[in-house]
This record gives sequence, C-alpha cells and structure tokens, in this order.
Amino acid sequence: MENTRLEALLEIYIGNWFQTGKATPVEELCPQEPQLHQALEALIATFHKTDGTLSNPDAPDPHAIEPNPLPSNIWLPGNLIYIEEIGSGAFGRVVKARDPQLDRLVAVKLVKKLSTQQAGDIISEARFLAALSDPAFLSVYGVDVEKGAIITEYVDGFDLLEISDKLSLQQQARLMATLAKALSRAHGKGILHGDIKPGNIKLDRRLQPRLLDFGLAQHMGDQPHGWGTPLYAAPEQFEGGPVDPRTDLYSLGAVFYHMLCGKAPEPGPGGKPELPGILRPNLPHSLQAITLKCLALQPSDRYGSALDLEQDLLRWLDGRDVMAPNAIANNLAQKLSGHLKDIKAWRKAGLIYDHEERMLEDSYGQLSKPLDDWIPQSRFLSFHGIVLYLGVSVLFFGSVCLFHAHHFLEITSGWLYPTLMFGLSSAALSWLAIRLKNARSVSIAYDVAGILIMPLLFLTLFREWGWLTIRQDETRALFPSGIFTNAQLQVAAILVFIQSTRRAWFTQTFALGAVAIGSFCLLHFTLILNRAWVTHLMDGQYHLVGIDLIPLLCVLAIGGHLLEKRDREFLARPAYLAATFLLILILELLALNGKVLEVMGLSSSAPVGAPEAFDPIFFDTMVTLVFNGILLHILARILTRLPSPLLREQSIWLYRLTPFLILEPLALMISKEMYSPFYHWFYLLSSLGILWLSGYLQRKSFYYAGIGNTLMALYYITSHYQWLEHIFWPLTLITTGGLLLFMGNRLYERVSGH
Amino acid sequence: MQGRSQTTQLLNLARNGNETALNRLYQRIGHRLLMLIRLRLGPSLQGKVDPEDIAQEVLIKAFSHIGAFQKDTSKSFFAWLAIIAANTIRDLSHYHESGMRDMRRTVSTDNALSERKSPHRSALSQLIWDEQLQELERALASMPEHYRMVLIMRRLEERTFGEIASIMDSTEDSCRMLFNRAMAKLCVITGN
Repeated sequence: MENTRLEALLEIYIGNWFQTGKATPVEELCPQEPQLHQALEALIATFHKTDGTLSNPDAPDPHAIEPNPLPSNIWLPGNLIYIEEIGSGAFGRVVKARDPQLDRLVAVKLVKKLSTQQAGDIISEARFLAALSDPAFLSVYGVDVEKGAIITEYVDGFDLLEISDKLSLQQQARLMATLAKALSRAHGKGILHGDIKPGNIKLDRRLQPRLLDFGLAQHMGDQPHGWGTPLYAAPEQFEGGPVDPRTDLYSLGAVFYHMLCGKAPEPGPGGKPELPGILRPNLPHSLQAITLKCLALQPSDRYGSALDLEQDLLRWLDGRDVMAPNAIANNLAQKLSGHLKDIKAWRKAGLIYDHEERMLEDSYGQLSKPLDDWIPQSRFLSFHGIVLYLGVSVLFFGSVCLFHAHHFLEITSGWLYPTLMFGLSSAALSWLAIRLKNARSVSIAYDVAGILIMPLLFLTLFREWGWLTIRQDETRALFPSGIFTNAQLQVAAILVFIQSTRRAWFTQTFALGAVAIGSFCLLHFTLILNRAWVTHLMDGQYHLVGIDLIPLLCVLAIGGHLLEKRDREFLARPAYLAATFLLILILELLALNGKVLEVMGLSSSAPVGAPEAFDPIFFDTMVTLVFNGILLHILARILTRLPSPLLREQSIWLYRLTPFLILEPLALMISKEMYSPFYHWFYLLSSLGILWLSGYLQRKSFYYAGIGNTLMALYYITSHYQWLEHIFWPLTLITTGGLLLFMGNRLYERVSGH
Repeated sequence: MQGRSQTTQLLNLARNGNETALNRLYQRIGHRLLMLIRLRLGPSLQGKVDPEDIAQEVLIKAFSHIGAFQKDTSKSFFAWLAIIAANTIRDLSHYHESGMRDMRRTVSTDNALSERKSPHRSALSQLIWDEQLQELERALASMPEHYRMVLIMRRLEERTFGEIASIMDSTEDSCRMLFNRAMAKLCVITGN
C-alpha cells in the first residue's frame, strides 16, 4: 500500500517538475502523512539521478581534446589542412593532412630543427623515395627543403604489429615475400633502407605492406650514418662494420621473427635469440629455418640477396623444400660441438676406448640429424610412419598376390581387371603423393607404394598386349615357360628405375632414394639375365654370378661417392648400403666353390685329413669363407677411419656379420664329419678366441658369436667322441663351468679392488 | 550550450579523419547508444542482429548527414543519433518481418566490421560500461512496453509530446501523464 501511495506522490512531483521546472516540497505533497516524508525524499533524489543519467548527454566533457585545429608550432606547406599528428620521433613529427585541391589525404613529415645537414637529408630521403616506384614504398608528392617537409601519400590501414597476430602463417609469409621483393628492387638501385622495423611497416586496407621512413637510407658503399633500431638492427650496424643488402635482410628477419613469435628477437647466450619453435611450438621448421638464416650473426651466413629470401618464402608457400638449412639440426649440431671436443679429449686421456669414442660420436651425430622420413634412419619412430609403411607393404604384397594369381595360376583372365587394379591404384597413389606434398611422410609413403606397383602394371600390359616377346634360349630366360620374356622384365625395370629416380630427385627423400637404388639393382639383375645367371646358380657356378655383379658394385660405390660429393645424401646413403651388402654377397658367391683360391693359385693340394674324404673344392670354399670374414672385418676397420660419415655408417653392418662369417664355415665343415678331428678343436679354439677378442675389442657381435660357436663346438665334440656315454664328460663340463664362474668372480674382485 | 559546441567541434574534427576526436565521441555516446539500441530492438530482433553492428550503421549514417544536425539546433547530438537508430531498427524489423533476408545482415559481425574502419571496433569494444547506465537499462527492460517507449522517446530521443502522441496514437495529455507515471515507476524500481 505504502509503495503505491509513494509512487502516486512521486508522479505528482514529476509532473510539477517537468511543467514548472520547480521542485515541490515534500510537506506540500503530503501534509497529512509525515511518516512518508523520508521515503519520498529518497525517491525524489533517485528521480533526479535517474533522469540525469537518462538524458543530458551533451554535458561538457572535461577530457575533450584540444579543439584548435592547427597547433601553433606546426607549419604545413601549401594550403594543406591539418588533421592530426600521427607520429613523432627524434627527427620531428609526421602529421596527417588533407590536400583540398586534389581532395586526398597526405602524410607530411616535418623535421624539427633544420640545419644544412638535415636539409640535405630531407632531399636525399625524398630522392630515395622518388627513385623507388614500387607499390611497397610510399609515393612522394612533394618536398619543401626550406621548411623541412616531405609530402607523401597517406597509408590508411594498420600498423604491422597491430594485426600481424591475426594473420595466418601463409599471409605472414606472403607479406614477407612482398617486402623482400620490394627490398631487392631498392637494393638493385643501390639503396639500403637501414632502419627496417615493425614501426616502419604499414599495411593498407588490402593488407599490402608499405615500407616507410627512408630517413636512415643510404647508397651502398657510403659511410654508415645511422644505427637503426636496437633489436632489429644487424650486429654490423652496431659494430660499425660495412653494411650491405644483407644488413637489411637481418632487420627484415627480425621483423619476421617478431611477427611469428610475438616479440622481437632478444639476443640470448652467444648472441642468438631464442628459437622461434620454442616460443611458438607449432611453427613449421622451414619458416623457423628461414627466420634464423636471416638472423645469422655473420652476414655471410644469411641469404645472399633479398631475392633469395623471397624465393625461399615462395618455395615454402608452394609446399616445396626451402634452402635454409634445418634449424633444429643446425642448432643442435652447434650445441653438440663442445661435447664432441670433450669426447676427443677423453679418448686422448684414455678415459674411453676407441669404440666408445665412435659410439658417442655416432649418438651425437644421430641427435643432429633431422627427423628423417626414412624409417631406418629416423631419430624418432612415429606410429603414423609405422602404419603408413605397413600399408605400403600390405598393398604391395596384395598386388603381388593378384599378379601371381593372374599370370601364374590364371585365376583371372584378360588385361582389364589387373590393369585397373594396378594402373588405377598406382596412378591414384602417385597423384595423391603430389597433391598431399605438404603432408610429407604421407606423400612419400604414397609415392613409394605407387612406384612399387608399377612393374606389375608394366609386365601385365607387356604380356597382355604381346609387346617385347623376343624369346631367349631357355637357359637364359628367368621364366623358361615364356610367361615373361627377359626383354619385358628389362624394359619394366628401366621404366621403374626412371620413375623412382625422378621422384627421388624431386622429393630429395631417403625413402624414394632407397627405392631408386633398389630399382637400379633390380635393373642390373634383369640385364644380367642374358648372361644366364639363373642357370649358373642352378649349376653351382656361383662365382660366375658373383663376377656378373661386380660392375654393379663398382657403379654403386663410385656413384655413391659422387652423389655424396654433390650433397645428394638421399641417394648416396642407400647406394652405399646396397654396395655393402652386394660386396658381402659377391665375396660369398666367389667363395662358394673355392674359385678364388684356384684363380690365385692357392688351391689346396695337400690333404689335411683322410685322403679319401678330402674334397678340395669344399675345403677351398671353407677357407675362403673364413678369409672373407677376416677381410670384411679389416674393411670395416678401414671404413671407420674414412672421412665420409656415410661410409662410416656402413661399417656397423660389416662388424656385426664378420664373426659369424669367420666361424660358420668351420661349423659347416665339422658337421660334414669329413675331416680330421683336429678341426673340432680348431673350431672350439677359434670360438674361444673370438670370445676373448670380444673383450679386447669391446664388440658384442664377437661376444654373441663366441658364446654361440663355443657351445656348438662342444656339441660337435661331444657327439663325435660319443663322450655322452661316460659320466666323466658331463662332470668335466660342469666342473669347468664352476671354475669359470669362480674365475669370473676373482676377475671381478680384481677390477673392483676388493 | 558549451556541451553542444564541444560536440560540434569533435564532429568536425572526426569528419576530417581525426581519429582521436572520433574515439572521444564514441566514449561520450557509445554506451548510451548501445543501451538505446538494445532496448529498442525488442524480442523479435534480439539475437538476430548485433547491437554494435547497428551502432556502426547509425554512426556512419550520422556522419554522412551531419549537415542536418548542424542546422537543427533543437536537439542534442545524442537525440539525433537516437532517432537515426530508431529508424534503422524500424527498417530492419521490416526486413525481418517480411521474411526478406538482407545479405548484408547475414554476414558475421566480424566480417561486417572489418569491412569498415577498424578503429570503430576498438573504440566500441573498449567502452567502459557505466554501471549506473547498466542498472538503468535493466530497470527499463523490466518495464511494460508502453512505459519504456514513452521514456525512450521523451528523454533519449527528445521528442515532443505532440510527436509521441501521434506515434502512440493517443492524446498529448495522456502521453504526458503516461510519461510521469512511467518515470515514477522507473524511480521506484531503481530506488529499490
């Protein structure tokens, strides 16, 4: 009730207030109700406050800006109308003005105090601008030397840092490419900007960049006259060194760093800024590499010209590899160099063994390697990589099954079905590989799968269309039944080799490099088909096959060396790997029927065991196999001392294989039971010798080979002498085992000093 | 009229492209204009259009017809903007009621803003929202439609009771009484 009454009274008050403009006293409104006076007073106060808030928006503003349109200390040339000041600095100020005659906005740079020197600067800055007719530079409309003013176009847009964080990486990179291109034009005219920083870059409404302020610009070769802005200026600008286009590139790189990371590059330890990838975790490696290449402390480590920078940015935008080296690997390599020196020192001081030195160096070498797309060489094994290559393998296996079913089992017939399967999938995979080039690992897996299916497609087409049906005599054909002729195999291999090499060269990846080298070996195998190696293998003429493979070994070794020299590591490494295994294969093939010793005139003439059991060929084979093992071990040792890191890598395979290569022939020989019992003991001693060598050389491969062969030798000896029938023999072995354990214990105590 | 002359000066500077003046103008009227637009929009349009978007449009219209304001000295600058806003919203509700979809309206606010000058956006988003005004807006929003409209038309749009009577299809006297009653009601709500 009271509220309704109060509201009615307030209504009367409000009516009077608006009609007469006078406040009616509370006593007059309700003389009989003094208990309401206080509440009504409060409501009246609320009314005045509320009405004040609701209306009267034009109250004087205590913070109103200076209404005087032209400050007295500003003089504008001609009849320009002053609008506002848009910037100021040590040089003076920049104002925005309107040119009423042409009805356009202009920016006027006014120099504070005009000396003769500054008058000269004004003219030179205006001339620099006039010389550069590029959309990325301001157009100069006029200059007033006496008053110290340059009139330029006014860029209505944004400051770079105001919006750079809202731009995509692609937009940022394109912006940089535009600036780099503009800079390269300026450099081409012999002009250096000298003060590139975010504050001097504006974007117009179409987000096209403009490079402002040529106040510190100079002709190339002039004495440097300015310092630029700290954080964006190149080191040589501070040190008073000679400046050249690469000085501007440093500053542009610093601007790019700021755009990408949200802060200017601050020199950290060693003068290097924090890695952009740390400040912005998802930044692509390539963009980081480009930024860091610009920010190299030594001008010689930067891009050679602004054009190179532009091209590298465009390469990134096109999804291609950039020229700037992988920054992570570089940075790590730099950090690791100190450790590598330590390792050398430790070796000299005898703290570590040779092989440990090598092991440490290899491990550090692995760290400085990029995350490779080739699984065996990658520092990091990702699940997507595993699944992709599993997919490639299964797809290839399935295709081979289909191929086999079609051509050998003739489950399907005609050319259409397999051609569709192989042709469409191969073409689709290759197309996808090119389309998805930004997703590198996926693209490469697709490429590999596409290439692996290709020979099946070619062979199917050749056969179904009856091409290249030049028949060889049956001993020289891989398929005597005539399903495929050698010529068909050879042409298919050539085509696959060409395609895989082309893709490897284009993508520069190890995976495709390996496929290319593999297809090259395949090509060689098909080419030597005409020399009837299949028949040779059947007839046990292994050495002839081995000889046929020697040219391939030479080509791979020499090719690998040449490719490595030309920095084509993606082909050199698989070439070396193939050469290593081919070398082992050739040596073993040559050994298999003892031809090597025969050729060398060393064939065994004196029987060692019982004359009737002596097979000189077999004996020669065994001896050669042992020699091969030793030879390969020596070769491995030589490889580790070579300067080429790629060749050094191959030694590991040889080291792993040699102890087995040395011992296995003996085991084989003894198992034949054709020779003197002396061999049993020789085998046991050799095994123990290898085992002992493992401790001396610190090689696990020797250790495994030694233990395994020792047990094998004991088994042969036991069965040869039928010692299992006497309790003495097992007891001897057990006692020997116990003694060895005790000896091991003593050795341990000696080493640990008890 | 010191306030009005100051506003006129700011307007002239802003028209010539002086961004400081433009921002200052926004600071003076922006929040009030937004409140008015929100109250005016009504339930059928709320959520479909962005009040800031309309504020932009109102200001752009105001700048292009600034001569009319300078000739007519009877109203404050804000009242003049308020009437432009009322007209804009009326046009807008016609579009929506007739089911016609204006493509300009369907672009997202961000796109619409970025097409225009960026400082407008920053000035508006930087508004310090006056607590007192916010309270007033809540009170107005809770009132019956005819109470709210009469208050807006009289105090924000500075219309005469004659104009209001013709809009509301009523007599001048009853509008005056309605206004007094609405004002008293508003004070009771805000006072509590």
